Amino acid sequence: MENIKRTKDARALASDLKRGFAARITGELTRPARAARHAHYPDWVGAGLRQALNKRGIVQPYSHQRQAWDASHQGKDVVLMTPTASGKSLCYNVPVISDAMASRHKALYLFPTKALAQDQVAEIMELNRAADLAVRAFTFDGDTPSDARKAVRTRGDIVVTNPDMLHQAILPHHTKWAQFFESLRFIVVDELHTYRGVFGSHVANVMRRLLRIAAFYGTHPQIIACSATLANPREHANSLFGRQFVLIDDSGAPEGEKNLLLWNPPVVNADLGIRASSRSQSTRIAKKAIAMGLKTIVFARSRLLVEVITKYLKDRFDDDPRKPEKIKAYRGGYLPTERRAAEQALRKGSVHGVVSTSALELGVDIGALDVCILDGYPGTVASTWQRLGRAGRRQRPALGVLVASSNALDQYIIRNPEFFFDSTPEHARIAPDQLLILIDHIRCASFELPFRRGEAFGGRDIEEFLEYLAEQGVLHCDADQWHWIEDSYPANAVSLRSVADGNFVVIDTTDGAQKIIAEVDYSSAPMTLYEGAIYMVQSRPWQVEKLDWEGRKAYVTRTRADYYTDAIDYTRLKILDEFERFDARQGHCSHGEVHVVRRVSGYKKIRYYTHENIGYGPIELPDAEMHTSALWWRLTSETLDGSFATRWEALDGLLGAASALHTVACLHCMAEPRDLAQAISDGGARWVANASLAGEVQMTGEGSRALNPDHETDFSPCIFLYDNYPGGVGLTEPLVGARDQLIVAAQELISSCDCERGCPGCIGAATAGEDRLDAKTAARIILSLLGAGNAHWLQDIAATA
Amino acid sequence: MSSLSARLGVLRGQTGAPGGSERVHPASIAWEPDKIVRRLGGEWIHDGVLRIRSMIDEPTSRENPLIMADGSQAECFLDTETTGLSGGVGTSVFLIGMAYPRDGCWILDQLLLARPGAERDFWEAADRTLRNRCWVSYNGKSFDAPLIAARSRLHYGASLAPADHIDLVHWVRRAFAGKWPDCRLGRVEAQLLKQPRQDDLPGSMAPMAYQTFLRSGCTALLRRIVEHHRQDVVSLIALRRALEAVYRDPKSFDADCERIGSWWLERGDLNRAESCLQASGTEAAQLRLASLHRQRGALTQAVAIWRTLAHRGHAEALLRLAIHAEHHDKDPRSAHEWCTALIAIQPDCPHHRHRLARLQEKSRQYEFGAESGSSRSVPAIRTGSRSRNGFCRDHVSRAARKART
Repeated sequence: MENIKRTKDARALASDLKRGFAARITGELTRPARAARHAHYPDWVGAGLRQALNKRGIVQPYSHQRQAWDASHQGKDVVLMTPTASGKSLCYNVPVISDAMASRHKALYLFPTKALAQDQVAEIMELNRAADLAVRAFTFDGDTPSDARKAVRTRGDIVVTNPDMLHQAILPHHTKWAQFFESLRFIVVDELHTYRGVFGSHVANVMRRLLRIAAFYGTHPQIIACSATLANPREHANSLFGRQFVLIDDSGAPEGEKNLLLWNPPVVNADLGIRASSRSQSTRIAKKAIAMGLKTIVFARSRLLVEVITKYLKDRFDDDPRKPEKIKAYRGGYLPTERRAAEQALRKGSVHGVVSTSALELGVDIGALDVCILDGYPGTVASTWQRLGRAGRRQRPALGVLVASSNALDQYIIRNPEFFFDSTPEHARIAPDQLLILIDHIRCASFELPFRRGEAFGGRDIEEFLEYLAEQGVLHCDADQWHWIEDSYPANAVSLRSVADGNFVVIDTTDGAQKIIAEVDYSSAPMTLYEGAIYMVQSRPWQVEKLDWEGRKAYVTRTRADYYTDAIDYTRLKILDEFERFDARQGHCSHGEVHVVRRVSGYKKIRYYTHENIGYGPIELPDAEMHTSALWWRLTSETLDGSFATRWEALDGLLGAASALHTVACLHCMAEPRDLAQAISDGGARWVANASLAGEVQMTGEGSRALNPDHETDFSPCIFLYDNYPGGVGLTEPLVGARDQLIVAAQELISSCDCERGCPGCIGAATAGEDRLDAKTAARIILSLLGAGNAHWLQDIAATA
Repeated sequence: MSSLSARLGVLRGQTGAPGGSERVHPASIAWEPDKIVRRLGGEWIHDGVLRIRSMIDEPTSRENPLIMADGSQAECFLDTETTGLSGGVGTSVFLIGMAYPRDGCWILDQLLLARPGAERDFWEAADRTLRNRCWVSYNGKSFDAPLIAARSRLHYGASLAPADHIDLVHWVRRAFAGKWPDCRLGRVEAQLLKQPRQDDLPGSMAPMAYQTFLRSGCTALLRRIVEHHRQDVVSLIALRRALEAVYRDPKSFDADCERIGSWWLERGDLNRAESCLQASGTEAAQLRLASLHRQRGALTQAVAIWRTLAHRGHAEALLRLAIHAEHHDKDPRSAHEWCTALIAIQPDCPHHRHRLARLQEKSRQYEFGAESGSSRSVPAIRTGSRSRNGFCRDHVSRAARKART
């Protein structure tokens, strides 16, 4: 039995780590402790509520809480951006509860997940019980039993739900909620930062519908929104709700000292550039922290990793079954009761270590922790701070350790700590007027309430859309109103989490049964559901036996394969429209619309752990086509021929540069790597270049004909970064303004990498052929042709050549 | 085709959305109210709201009405045709039929929403007929009433709701759910009313018929829907009368005697309950009947039924006998034997085991206190090893004596 000492604080662990492993720590940041700034309760907070707050230990509010209350009391729409555990929920609960007590007005709360909704109701109920406030708060979600729904609609002062429920169950049945809407005074939207990209674009439209229905019942509810760190909270709130918001971001809550270490696992094979796994490093640090008596949370990247790390920690600390558990796992897929029990154990402090997925990133209350270990970069700066915020609540010094994995993004972050520390947080972007998303919600809105002629939606004239829907037989125009006449329930056909509606179902046919185990959206189906593919659900592998493309079904069976599969696709692009063109040193950079044709041609089988290729398979699927928006850099053959001995070397470089640009662009626009795609092509759909199965660059023309770039008369390739959704969801627009920064960041990514000739961490999968310039240098040359990064190393190369 | 529709068509295809089939419809058609009246009959009570009034040949009075509103509300038989079955506020009612008695006749008013823009007037007119009435419908509680409430709230500002609501589908389900493959109105008409529809446009065509009418002004299909809808309401009135006969004599109609008997039982009409349950051969009905006998003090009859069932190895009957023997006859030994037989059938039930243990204890005490010559009952439950002769006649007669006193 390992003894857990209880004498030290997180500073002791930090100095231990720095003393013992200085080589692994690539960066450090200390945020000093901050004292609390308090304010007084405003007069309109009644004695009952004040008493309840006092009983809950809140004698004096923080300054930002007071600011939020004042602004909302003046009728303003407020967006709050303050750190985790700064008492955000009181910022909205106090005005809402005061109002409910004084005039029985109603409030609608939106949280992105059911668990957060339940937490919120529990919090309100505790406040309620503290002084008998008689405020009724209920959750309304898929779990609400049908016989309880009526009571929620008619008796709830505060109804807590999620956007999907609002979209599919509340708005299309709004007359049942008439009483609720007639006295709706506040809309509270927490975790605003999660509403970005496609999901956010949908949610913005759901908000338009919500406010339109509220207006039908004669109400103009006020909005209070809260967000984790974003670069553009006010702008984001403005575009989500179509209103002008007041931003409150000066937190008055106290903060303990925070220390953040960036940790790169040691190199275990210098020749291949292989590092120790982040999992083992995270586990070691966690063991050390827990043994020192520090309450510790480990964020892992997958549910499987959660289980694995938990096992390792339990083996060490929970070896005596008679004692209460010291280590807990927490992730999606657990039953709600199980999760509640884990949360309670954490709050009580009986648990010393918890291992979680992003499930605990959002505001679930788990009490105070000392150490937060991130196994892998969570993908965004905002999400990193959100997770680190888990440690150091209640003014104790706290330590965060970010342990880098071997993927490109992580390695970039870990080698460029200044990027991470200095950069402003990401922008949240949405494109609510994206055509497909907009038309879906105009359908839903028409179903809910006929549009009047001249009525705007999201501030724009939509007559053209209504006429289109009338042509389609969905609407009928009479008496200057557009009436829904189709036999359907449009919200059921619209999923907020994607733009496509041709989803595939994955059917498990093991043992003759037919059970649906997953749903895959249309755009990713070709890359994941081809025959022979290994498809994973919660790390359990299935093999695709048969794909019914027309019927949108994939039949799978359980397998014990010791490999996974990765599809290889060829993408050709044709530039349809060039909106803008900018000089980019010796080339140029453009923004516009492209036509993308993607063919998935085959797949490789990759063995677990060793990652060796153990086989190939062909894939025969129809080409996927789409129009979308893109950003591209073009270089002419003269420029390239002047810098490279052969065009093959130029293609090596283009491929490597594209991979690095893709990595840094995903960082910049807060995109999932698959939402933003990359390609090398001539821009006229004549040819495409990519890495072959063996990793060598190849150039393919029409009819899959292999081409030799040196034989091409016209060779002016482009690096494309494009929005991987039909019509685009606005991911490339922010990249236009940042085009020069992207080049510089890509240069840094490559040059700070320890590898000699290029590795997956910096330039992606492609490797240069023998007797050629190495791909890493080639990629650096390409980038230097496109941007003004420091080029002294070029001269070095020239000198040695 | 507009440029928007072209762009949307292209993008939709790229997301894998089904079908790019273009359905282009004329933007507007001429509004010809006279033609509509010529084709459908009726009169315009508002611009866009057509009322088609007709009489229904059904008696307005009944002897001993059984299915009726609780209070003294006037009745209104009600049925709707809608633009869809999916529910939600976007599903609209374009045809509502309301039948009510007036001066010894049934009047049927069918209101047609000929222009969607006239929905406010449509609901105002419907409200005049529906207000303060008890609605009688077929599956209306879960379908028509919520739709009427939603649409009238949306366009008329007030949710129309019935003063009381009788949904005949519940009555039909109780009587025939176990007997028929489904309880749709068409089945009711064929099986119970013996009036199968001839040459009828199915109700599922209603949304299509209405859409065709709105887009092209063509009334051919709509006319058949109006006729179909009229027939629905006529059937409702006939159905209520037929159901009253069914409930009084379920056996003759091959209805579910057990459930109807139980219904009479709940209603407190024990005589009717008894005759229905007697008519039913099911074990559940027999049990119900036995408990009815017990309620009325006819313990001999109750015990007789339980015993018959017990011989077939019916667990519930054995349990009843065990309870009866223990608490009524105060004969723990018999009770113990019934209980043993019960456990032979349901060995895993902890309640039975608990009961057995208690009875064991009681019988032991009883053994000491009882006179030695008392006869013992021996249940013979399918084991065949025991004689049936010793069946506790004493207890039965004792129970009967007790019941008489």
